[in-house]
Amino acid sequence: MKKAIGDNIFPANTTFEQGLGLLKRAGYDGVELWLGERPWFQMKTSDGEVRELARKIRDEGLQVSDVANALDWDENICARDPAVREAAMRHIRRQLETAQMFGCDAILVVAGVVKEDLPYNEVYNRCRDALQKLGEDAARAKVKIGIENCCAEQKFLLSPREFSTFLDEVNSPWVGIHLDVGNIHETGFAEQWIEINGPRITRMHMKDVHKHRGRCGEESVYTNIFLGDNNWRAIRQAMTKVNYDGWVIAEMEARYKYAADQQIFDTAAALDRLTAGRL
Amino acid sequence: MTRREVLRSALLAGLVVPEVRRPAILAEPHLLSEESGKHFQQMWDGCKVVGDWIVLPGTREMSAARAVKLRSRAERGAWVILESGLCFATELRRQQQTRLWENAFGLSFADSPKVSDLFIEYGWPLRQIVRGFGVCTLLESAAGAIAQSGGKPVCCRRVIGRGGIIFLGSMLGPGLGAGEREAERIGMRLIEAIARETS
Repeated sequence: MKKAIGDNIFPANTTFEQGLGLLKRAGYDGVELWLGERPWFQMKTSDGEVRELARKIRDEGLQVSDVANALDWDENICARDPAVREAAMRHIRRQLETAQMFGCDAILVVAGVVKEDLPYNEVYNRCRDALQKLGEDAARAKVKIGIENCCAEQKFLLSPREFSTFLDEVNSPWVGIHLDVGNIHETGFAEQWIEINGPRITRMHMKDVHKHRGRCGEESVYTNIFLGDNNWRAIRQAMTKVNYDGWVIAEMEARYKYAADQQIFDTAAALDRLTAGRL
Repeated sequence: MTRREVLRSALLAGLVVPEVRRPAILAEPHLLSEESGKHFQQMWDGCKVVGDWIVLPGTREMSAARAVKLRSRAERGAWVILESGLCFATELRRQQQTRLWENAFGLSFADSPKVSDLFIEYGWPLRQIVRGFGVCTLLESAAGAIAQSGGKPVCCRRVIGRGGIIFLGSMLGPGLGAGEREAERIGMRLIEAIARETS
């Protein structure tokens, strides 16, 4: 297994090159790039500039684990407004293009956000239809689309079986699940999501969760690996059970009040313990 | 005896089998219209309603020439389902289209759009609550109103010559194929009721 962390964790005022250097020193194999998050990787970033980012990553001895995006929450494929939906299709297609340029074979998409005035049934149908189209693009690009389970925030695809049924309906080998073990709060158990969706897991996000907290104010439900309520031994066993040997990617909230870069080192060490199964 | 009366007696006597025709679904080239049109088509696939039907799903780009043709078809017996797709249109586009629809179909629109309540209440052909669809194209007059949003008329039917128009100021199509039973029920009952009245 290879380990990575997102460029969205680079401490403030860190350049892209400095961030990569930090990751290398901490022992990561790769970086997850977030389209639309940091200034160096936006929708307006040209192909030439993307290739320059790729060169810098290579020069540092790192790889790109996957291309995520920070845009789906405002531009989602389930939107009622067709202009917003088209914008969502554009940025996902840009993820596929740039993934090819970075030489990686997976992207992350948040598909579907159910709201009070955007009902579940509509969201389900639009996401399925859009992903059937995007699956064809993904096949041509030979890059897999991993749909992330942001169950609590999305209010969508809330159980592992429903997620699996949804992927059955999308019916493309190029569309799978980018499984985040920290996003399963009070609605289930991460290890069961791994077992049920095993062969379709494109990538895994790693973080821990305080299941008893709920979501209120600044008291986040998320925390560093091994500090929360996830059953990490069961998660590791489930990964072995389904033969998951791909990237493990830390997705952390930057919570360190001092020495922000220390979180990157601590997380790398936690990922090493997890992948080694020393729990 | 008029031609219609002759036909009706023949129908009642079982001498004539009514023609089941597919509706003409005139979708516009944007996602909202295409999605709704697909769902209207699916609804029609499951029913055997007779008559001449034209569906304009999620409409926001109707030309004056098309409006004239639709008016003419309605006068000759067609029923037009005009579903407003102005929910995400600019104010200029909304004004231009509603003025066109007023002139062509004798509808009367409120000055401004309205963010709908979450639900629309149909009163005809049956009392039924369905999901609203964001911003409604509200009607000014309650004449012929068949549904309302927050007490304001939002859908209506109007006879034009031998046919007529059903105006939907809040989109129904997206709910039709999305497993919204109540949307399917109102959609089917609407066309069945019109077909029954005009047969």
